[in-house]
Amino acid sequence: MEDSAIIELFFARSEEAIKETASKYGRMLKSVALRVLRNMEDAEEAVSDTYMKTWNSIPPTRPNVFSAFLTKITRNISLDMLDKEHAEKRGAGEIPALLDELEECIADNRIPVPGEGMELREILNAFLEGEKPEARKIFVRRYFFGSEVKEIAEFYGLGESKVKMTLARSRERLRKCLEEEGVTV
Amino acid sequence: MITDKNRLLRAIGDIDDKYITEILSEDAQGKQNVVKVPFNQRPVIRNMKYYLPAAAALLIVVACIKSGVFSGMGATSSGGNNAADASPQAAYSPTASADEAACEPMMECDSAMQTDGMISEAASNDKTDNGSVNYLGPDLSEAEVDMINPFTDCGSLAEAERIAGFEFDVPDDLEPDLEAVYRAMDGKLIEVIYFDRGEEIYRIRKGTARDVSGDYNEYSVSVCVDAATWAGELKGYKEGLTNCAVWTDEDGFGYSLTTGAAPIKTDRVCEIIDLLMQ
Repeated sequence: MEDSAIIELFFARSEEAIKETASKYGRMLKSVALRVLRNMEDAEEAVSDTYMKTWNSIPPTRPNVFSAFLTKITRNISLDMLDKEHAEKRGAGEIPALLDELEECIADNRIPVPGEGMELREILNAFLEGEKPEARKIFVRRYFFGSEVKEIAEFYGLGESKVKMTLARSRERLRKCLEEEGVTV
Repeated sequence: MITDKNRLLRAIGDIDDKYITEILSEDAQGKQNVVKVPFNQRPVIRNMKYYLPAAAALLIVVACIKSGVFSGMGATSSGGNNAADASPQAAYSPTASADEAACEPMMECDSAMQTDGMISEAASNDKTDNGSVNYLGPDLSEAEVDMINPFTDCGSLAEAERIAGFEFDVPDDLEPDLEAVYRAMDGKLIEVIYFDRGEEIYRIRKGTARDVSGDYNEYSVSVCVDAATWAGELKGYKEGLTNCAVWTDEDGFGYSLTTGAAPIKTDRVCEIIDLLMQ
């Protein structure tokens, strides 16, 4: 079923909307959640919560890109779940590593609050826009989807060292972007 | 300033959709690059010189058999050559258990493919132009794709009001030079769309929810208005221009005005809302 048709089902408050969403995107969303949570039960819970949040958001929200809309919700819910004690006990997958790596981008660990200069989201989008496609995709796979370096390397048929180097250079460029916008230093 | 590196990770979760769909599309297409496999894990490739002639001969035999079968079956064969097509629902189950069975994580799939030293073809995945990605979803027949449109096209505003179950006071002279199209959602929503020579200028809605705009865009400019007869928010990308307005009345109905391709001056939007809320 086309995304627009599924969204119309949400607007019509038809429970078929959730069934169709699960049928079309359930596997993808579970994969996204699992990359963050590294626990099947938690991932399933995150996906179920995604459906519920989507149900509560549509209407009035009408997503431009339904797959991205769902993915963002799942990612946020998964990150929220990591904050909970039970998830921490099971380990947080790649997230601690991601945080350590991203810390390099924040020279003095300072990020502006909303309304203080250019929004962080805009800086990130401008940074991604300026990245070469390969570097951009590797960056998004690593820091949006939480994929392991090994996983990314295998997907693109690259060496792990190449992926690590690409990520390191991207982080350096992001650090400079943040600095130029007055975010750090 | 906030000293929280988690914020950067969270902010990455709010990047533009296009960067996410770029990855989802790649995943849907499967691995397109050659996966490096140690030489000792390539028995098929090493022995290809033995297998190729046999495979070629087998293909020729299969092609001959198929050719004979299809010529004998005639036109009726195309309609019944796929049991799955005949019963698409068999591949689709909304239950959690079935979903679980179909939801083997991509990571595990990837690992399995790498172990085998094979390149995924992801034949059942699909990608559409609008960023929609179909992950091993069921192949639905055309009949199933057709769905019930929750909107009913109406010949007049009165008809739309009858379907929605509430009134929407739109002045007759609100847009005398534009063509108006009326639609309604049973018990929930009335929509009036104004066109100028086929091009949508804007649409207004009244509904039972507080925000009936259905507009998911993020705007950089937002102005809150608390007028005598209405209170709401006007949103756009530039000061003085509005792309989307949402407001409510004292009875709890939600209203919206969303523009077509071009934004409308905020002053004009306020005038329209004032006229609607008189």
